[in-house]
Amino acid sequence: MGSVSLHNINKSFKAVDVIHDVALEIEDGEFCVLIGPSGSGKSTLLRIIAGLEEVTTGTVSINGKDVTELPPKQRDIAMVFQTYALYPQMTVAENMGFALKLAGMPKAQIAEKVRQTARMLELEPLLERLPKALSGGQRQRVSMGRAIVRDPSVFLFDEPLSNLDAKLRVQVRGEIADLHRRLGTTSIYVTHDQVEAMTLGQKIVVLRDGRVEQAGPPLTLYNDPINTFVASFLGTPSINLIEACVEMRGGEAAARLPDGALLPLGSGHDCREGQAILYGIRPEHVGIVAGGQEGGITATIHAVENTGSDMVILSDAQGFRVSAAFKEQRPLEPGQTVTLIPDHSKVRVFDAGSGKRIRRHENS
Amino acid sequence: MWFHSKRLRWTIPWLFLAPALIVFTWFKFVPIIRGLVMSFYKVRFSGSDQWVGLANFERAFSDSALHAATLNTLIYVVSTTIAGGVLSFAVAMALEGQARHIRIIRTAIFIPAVTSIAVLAEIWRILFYPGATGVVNQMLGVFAIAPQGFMSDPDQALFIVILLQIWKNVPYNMVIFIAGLASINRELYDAASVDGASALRKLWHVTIPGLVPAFSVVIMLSLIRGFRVFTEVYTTTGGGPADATEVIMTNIFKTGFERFDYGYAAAVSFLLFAFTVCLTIVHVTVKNRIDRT
Repeated sequence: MGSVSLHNINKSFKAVDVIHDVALEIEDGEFCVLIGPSGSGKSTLLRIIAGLEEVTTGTVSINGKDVTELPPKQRDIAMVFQTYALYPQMTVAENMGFALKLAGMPKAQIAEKVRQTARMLELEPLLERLPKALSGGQRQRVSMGRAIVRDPSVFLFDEPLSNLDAKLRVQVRGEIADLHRRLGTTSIYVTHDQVEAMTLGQKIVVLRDGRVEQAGPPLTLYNDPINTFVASFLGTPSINLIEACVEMRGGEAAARLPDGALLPLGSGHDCREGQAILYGIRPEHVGIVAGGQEGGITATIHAVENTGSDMVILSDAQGFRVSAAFKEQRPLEPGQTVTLIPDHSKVRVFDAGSGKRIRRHENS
Repeated sequence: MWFHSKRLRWTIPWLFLAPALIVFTWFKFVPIIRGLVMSFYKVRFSGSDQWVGLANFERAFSDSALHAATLNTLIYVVSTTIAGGVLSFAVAMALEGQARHIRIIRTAIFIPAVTSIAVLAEIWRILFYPGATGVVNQMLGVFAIAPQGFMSDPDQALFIVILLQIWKNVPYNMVIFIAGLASINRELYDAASVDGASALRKLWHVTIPGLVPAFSVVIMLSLIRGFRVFTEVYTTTGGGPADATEVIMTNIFKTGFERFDYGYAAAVSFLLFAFTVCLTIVHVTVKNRIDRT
């Protein structure tokens, strides 16, 4: 097992800077998820850790050892790829044992290790098959088996579930989580799917344009985002960010929304009278009552999305849109007028210009 | 009504195909069948043809000139297939990529593939002119090597014609290999790097298996082109000197159009056609077997 440290990593492809001064500590045995939109540099960062991409400046350390200049095979890592990357002409057993064969391990020992790993992943009946005779889920399990059999210090996963259908994705996600629990190997996992990030990660690193926006445990990022990017990237449906203006009422700040509604922000926010802010409230923290009512946002239901287990209401207020989500089934219809009542204790306030979070004072 | 619409549906595609089918039938299928029929006759220009049964085919198996031409063709096919295949694979590996200078070199290399064989043959004659003033002979002179006969030397002529075929085929094959290389999953190379594979191992375990379809196409094209080679030989050496570059097709041409032995020429043509079909069947069978395993 091993820890991974990235110090001031910069990466440029010719004139284009793709990674900017990334510093990251991943603890021994931790499951770290790198998440971000396309082009955020998450896959490049993973490839830098793997040694498949050279850094422009900075250092990569695995288990305290500087591996920046070492090739992938000397980094004690194993990688699971998006397209599985199984050698098509080799059987499952040959694919799994290939790295061990290249490392010069005796045949009998390779066979034993492959068998053990195959048993763990329930791949034993498939050992003599070629990859083309396997389903997508089986191929991904073989790909994981190929990584596990090497018993590396660090597992690297590059969007391993992207090519699977929705149902299989949930199943393999569970298998990856289970494997991490059993093996306890440090894992770094790249995805753009925030559900995967939230369910698998012990630490989530949100990247944008090659920079780390925020890193921390999933719920910390969800509940305590440092800016609008992190707030809106995590959570489905996305957080409501409503343009508003601060009004001070007897020492307490309140947000004046475009429709004229005045919603309290509570005391202690570091904001001033007239400041332009974004009033952030997650859909599940928005209550809903039928008809117009004081103290809330009056809106007309635009659409109702009912998944059976969840209900999402998309509604139009005057000049902005608000979504609300709840578990119980309610008789709501498009066109109906409702009042949306945010849970004031869950409101997150952001500066409208910079998008940065405006926090409450510690003592308030 | 239903009958009519179904009949119409069946007829319309044939109506579209009809012009091409008529032209092909008249200029291709009829001559092919007439050629096959001719191979059972001794063709006479005055009087009616004489039925000879399988005599023309039997003669092919005892014709020493044809055997010599067949041997030359085999040498030609094996050399152009192996040397051409290996060389085009190497050139493709070197010129794979999107860099601008690579694209320019690739275009330059592709020129022989789209140039008329008559022009290529003329270039070859200039390059390999047997006198001391020939381009290649002058280059050899730098290394104090005496002027060579090249296409006028029976020991060298076949080799020089083989070089022409390789020069013409390499760019075409290169494009097939480059297309094959582009279709290989790049993550396989990454996986091989993580597994600890050297550059040679990556070539053996990733590149070559990924290029099996490209190799298959290149080999098949080279075999078919090689066995049916005519223009390259006819425009450079015409089969000489002293039949040193005589191949099956030039032999057939001379038998038919110089000695006017149409029946026998038709029989040998048909044997070559049958052999090419068999070769294609064997190739497809082998390829399918490789694909299945």
